[in-house]
Amino acid sequence: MPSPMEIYKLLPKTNCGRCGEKTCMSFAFKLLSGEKKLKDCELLFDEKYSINRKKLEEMLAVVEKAKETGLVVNEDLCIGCANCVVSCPVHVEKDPYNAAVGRGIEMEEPILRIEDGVVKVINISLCRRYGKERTLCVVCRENCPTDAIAFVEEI
Amino acid sequence: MRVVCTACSCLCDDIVVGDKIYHACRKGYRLLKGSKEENTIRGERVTLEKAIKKAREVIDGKKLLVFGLDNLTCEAQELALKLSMEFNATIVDHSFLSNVLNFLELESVQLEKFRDEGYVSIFWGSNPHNNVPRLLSRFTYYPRSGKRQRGYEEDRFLVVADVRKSETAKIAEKSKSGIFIKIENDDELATSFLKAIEGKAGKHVDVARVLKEIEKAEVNAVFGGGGLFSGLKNFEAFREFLEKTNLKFVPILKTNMRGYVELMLNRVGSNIYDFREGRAISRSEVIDVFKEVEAVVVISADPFRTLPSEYSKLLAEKELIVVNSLKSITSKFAEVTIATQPSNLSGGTMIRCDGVRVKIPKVSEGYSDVDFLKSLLE
Repeated sequence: MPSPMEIYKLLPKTNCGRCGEKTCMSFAFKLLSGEKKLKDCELLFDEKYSINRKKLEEMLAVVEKAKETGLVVNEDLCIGCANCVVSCPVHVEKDPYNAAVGRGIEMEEPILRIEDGVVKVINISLCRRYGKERTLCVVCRENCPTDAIAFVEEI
Repeated sequence: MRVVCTACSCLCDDIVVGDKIYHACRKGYRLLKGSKEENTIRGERVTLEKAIKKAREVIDGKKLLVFGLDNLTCEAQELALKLSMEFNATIVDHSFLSNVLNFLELESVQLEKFRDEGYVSIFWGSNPHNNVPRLLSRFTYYPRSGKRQRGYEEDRFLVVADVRKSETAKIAEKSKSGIFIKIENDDELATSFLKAIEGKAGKHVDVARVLKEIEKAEVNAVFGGGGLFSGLKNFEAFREFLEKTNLKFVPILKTNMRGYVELMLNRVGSNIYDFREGRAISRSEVIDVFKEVEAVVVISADPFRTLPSEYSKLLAEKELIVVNSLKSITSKFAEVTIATQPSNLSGGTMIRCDGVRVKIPKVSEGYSDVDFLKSLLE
């Protein structure tokens, strides 16, 4: 996952303000959180920034995959230990006889499920970080031994 | 279709195989979907019959080593032992690498009982992240079950004692209900525990906190791994610590190493045996066996990956017959490779790390380790 500074270094750094942000650094943060897109920076589409733009597109590909809750799963790091599935408070409540006791999750459309050896996001709308009464739950990330789970706003 | 996963000694029985494989960790997935072994002679693909015929030729009249076996079912291990007797071979598995036999005598606790009642789990010289990826989520730390409904948040205490900050140690360090004890010497930690029990200070001051947590529950356990089996010299101090604290011990082993060791101890009284000389072999003599043998049957193992180089270098000079479900580094050096299906498809019995016998249902009629061993014994 790129850092705001890594993104900033590839931006024009002119603080022109045409993107609606006062500084390029602010724009870098907004790119990471998904609030702004690369196309919002007109200067980046100049020929002299084409290499930087390509690098930024590659860098931000992972952010594009982030779910509405800001959840980003890096499947390459995941080993399928299911700590996230079993520790998730929503799963505990909705699947008390399987996921809560450590067995493979049986509820339909869970938030996370281990498929083909790695964790997959199935139904993000159940996540406690989603909707009007959202909370800043980080249980799945806290219990991931490989840092395969991250949240965009913490990056 | 439900299968029991035989990728590690957790033997997870909740794996669903359909259009995708559900609930299996990466190890379990690889066992079912990894790159499959093929029947070959010196790298050239051949029919199964030709490969078996060549395997017979290779082992005929040679000084033979039968190696691997820890990932086989008890039934296949029994046949491998029979094969070793028949061909006057030496039989060796991975248990010779450490002093694991002593640890198997310690009182264990069923993983289901620990899930329902267990409080303190001490991972000593073990990193379940690598060996038994689902152990924490299925049995020891995360489940909310039985008397432990509040799970890891309040009803479990995780201790990791290791020489490095492993992935499991990171979880312990981050958690309010966990602690990571960095050790340089296993004996020092055992002695620190014993001193703390007597009210004295040892090298590791954190052990006092662990002892206080142990007092809160009746069911607590040490989950020991290779680091402990290899590093601990003063086994009696370790045993005394377990006895004084009523801690149970669960060894983290290869899938069915426990089955192999139990079989060997029951039949011939040793986990390493030379049928040519008719005697048990000590751990230090295994290197000589590797030097002397002419041919090696490697069954369901990848010694080029799992053994220290001093052993694997010697194997590279021998005529190798590799019997496996997955391609391996060892199979690249083999005279003959025989493709079998994974043991979680062919069925049988395995002994889980806590000593519980687990029945593996047969779900496929494919060619198995048992079929191969039977054909050599015909």
